[in-house]
Amino acid sequence: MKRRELIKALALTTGAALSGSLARAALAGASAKDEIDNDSLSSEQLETIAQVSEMIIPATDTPGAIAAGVPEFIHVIHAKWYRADERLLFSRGLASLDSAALDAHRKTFSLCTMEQRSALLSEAEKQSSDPDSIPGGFFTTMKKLTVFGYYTSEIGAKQELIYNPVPMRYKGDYLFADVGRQWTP
Amino acid sequence: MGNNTTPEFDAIVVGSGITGGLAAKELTEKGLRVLMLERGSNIQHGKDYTGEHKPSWKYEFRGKPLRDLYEEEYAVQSRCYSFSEANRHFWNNDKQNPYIENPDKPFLWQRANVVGGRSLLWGRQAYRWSEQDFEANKLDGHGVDWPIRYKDLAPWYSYVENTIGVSGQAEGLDVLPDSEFLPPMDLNVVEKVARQKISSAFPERTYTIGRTAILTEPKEGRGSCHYCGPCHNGCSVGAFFSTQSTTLPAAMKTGRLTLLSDKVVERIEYSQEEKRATGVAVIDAQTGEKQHYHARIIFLCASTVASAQILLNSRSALFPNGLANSSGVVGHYLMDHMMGPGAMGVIPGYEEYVEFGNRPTGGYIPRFRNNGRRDEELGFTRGYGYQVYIGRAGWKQMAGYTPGYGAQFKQDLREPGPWSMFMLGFSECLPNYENKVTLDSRKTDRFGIPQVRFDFSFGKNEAAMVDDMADQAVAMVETVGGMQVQRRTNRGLPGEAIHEMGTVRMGRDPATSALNGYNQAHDVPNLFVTDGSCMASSSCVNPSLTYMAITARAADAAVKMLNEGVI
Repeated sequence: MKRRELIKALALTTGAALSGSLARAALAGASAKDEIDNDSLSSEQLETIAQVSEMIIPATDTPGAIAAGVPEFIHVIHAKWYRADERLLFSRGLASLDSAALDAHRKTFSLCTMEQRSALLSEAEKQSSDPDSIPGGFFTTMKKLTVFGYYTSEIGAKQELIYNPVPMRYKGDYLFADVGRQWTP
Repeated sequence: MGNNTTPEFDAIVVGSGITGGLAAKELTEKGLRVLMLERGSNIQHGKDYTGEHKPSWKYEFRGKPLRDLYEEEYAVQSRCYSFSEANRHFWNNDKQNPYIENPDKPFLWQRANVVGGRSLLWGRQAYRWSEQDFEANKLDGHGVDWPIRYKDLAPWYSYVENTIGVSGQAEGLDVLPDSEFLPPMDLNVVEKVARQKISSAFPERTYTIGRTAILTEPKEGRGSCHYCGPCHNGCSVGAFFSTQSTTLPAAMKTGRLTLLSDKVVERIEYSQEEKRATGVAVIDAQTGEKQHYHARIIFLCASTVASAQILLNSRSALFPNGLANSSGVVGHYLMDHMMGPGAMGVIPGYEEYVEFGNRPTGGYIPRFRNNGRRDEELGFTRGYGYQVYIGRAGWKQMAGYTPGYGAQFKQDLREPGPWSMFMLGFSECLPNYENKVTLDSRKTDRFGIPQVRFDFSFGKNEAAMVDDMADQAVAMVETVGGMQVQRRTNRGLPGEAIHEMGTVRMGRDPATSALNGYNQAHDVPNLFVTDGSCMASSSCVNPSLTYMAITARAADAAVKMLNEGVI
């Protein structure tokens, strides 16, 4: 049984708030091969990824991660570039966000409010200097993927950066104030 | 097609890379009908530069390595800084064309497998040797005396520079003679400071623009540099020197060149009666078909290791140790620059400035050790130079150092990071008989040719330079204002500098060398070897310009000998 369904099922049958520790126990008991499906991302997981990526690089005076196609890019990396152990780690990371959300708000991450999600992501960021922290590691992974996926996207390159593949000349003392952005080849 | 003694070509050039392409141009322009054979597949100028200007979003993984494919088929080549999806089709497939490594003494044999060879991939740094480089073996006794001196090569350096175009700044240094220069590319604002502060603190040291085989003004149908950045993905403008941009079109223009790709030279054939090389035995890389081609002279320009392989594989009753190898040196005295020790640091300030355009060369600090005299207290002979990179970190590097996320983080990433200075040392490598390539007949490649086995390690003199390379780099980075300076003693692996040379060395004595002063094999008068294998010592500067000058000089001599009936 998939982990997500397990938690929902437990919550429904008990008819009461599912304590975070019970959810964690459910997680701990589920092995990678049995309950957790690592090889594909559910629509809820994809929603979480989209929300987190947009939180990392939001729309400002230029488009954000969602407009730049970052969630789709992360999905491609997960499905086609990651190896099994990386997918497992990624799944555990996603689950840890949900676990913290359930702990704090009795809802999975993607169902929380924007303020709640913001606090949860900040908490994960705080743990990112701890090499053993799963939420911390997941934050770092999502930040790297989001940054890479954003600045290598067409929108990121052309609207946030300045796409200039053929500069035609070189000037070693150009004033940054005259451009305000970085170029990308 | 002729019979065995009537050659259908005047000259066969084996290899189409930096030296092969030039040999083909020189020989055809001097009136010879030339066959140039390349084991790799064809790459047409412009048309086959499929990665040139291909933007990141057009790659499925945006430029991330195809890990499984690279580990399986490009295990050695994918380690190179310039290897990526954009140019993978230029590189040798290590699974298809392996070599034998010693796991305790790794050697990265980094190479292309296409027309143009590494002339499509090279770093384009172009430096002349100095008089002291040619005298070094005689002075300190390592290796055999070069049969030529700087004065012999100087006119050929000029000739090659006027042919290919080299941009740089004249500095009047004995240790790094000036080339015939096109206008230099500009130094950036921090480099100008570095140049001034370094020569002020160290009067015998110079920070100069890297001398590079890239045009800064149009030349003979080739365009001037566009400052795009990754030359090694292909330059359809023709701004940097390659076989495709320069020597191949010139040779084709004569109407006397036949270029055949996908032809693996298995052996050079020698006639005992005629006492000369008669031609080559070739295997078609696609069909496996065996063919023979004949010529009056042969220029072996297959690259250092491949040329030694061909000679060793061309053994016969008369040459039991390999063609042109009565001395026993072929395959031995392999050298590569020891690369790596140096320093890096952050240069605070100058943050109102950025670089516009992607300059395709860094800076260079020429050798300042043992110059014209032996500094006994250093504990090593000869010397080293540095390639230097001074620039600002972009979003890619800064993202890992920039805390937070969200709108402020995105805003913070707009400004590039601080300036930093990175000094990468390259030291000379002494010739050592034990550093070698040999053939292993128990392990043949897919053509039935014995594979190359490497046996190489850097020696005492190279090891003795490491600390000084690091210490001096730290001193110079600090002089420029560097903070958080990292002293680096990491040594690259053998092969990583991609300057392997020495396996068919020149010398005055046929007992201790394979080639004479005109790159003519002592044993085989109509065989000339002019690629990196011919080098009797290695200097510390990038070698390709010297290989080219040697090639042009040898081609001139060979044609004169041919016309005079000497060969």
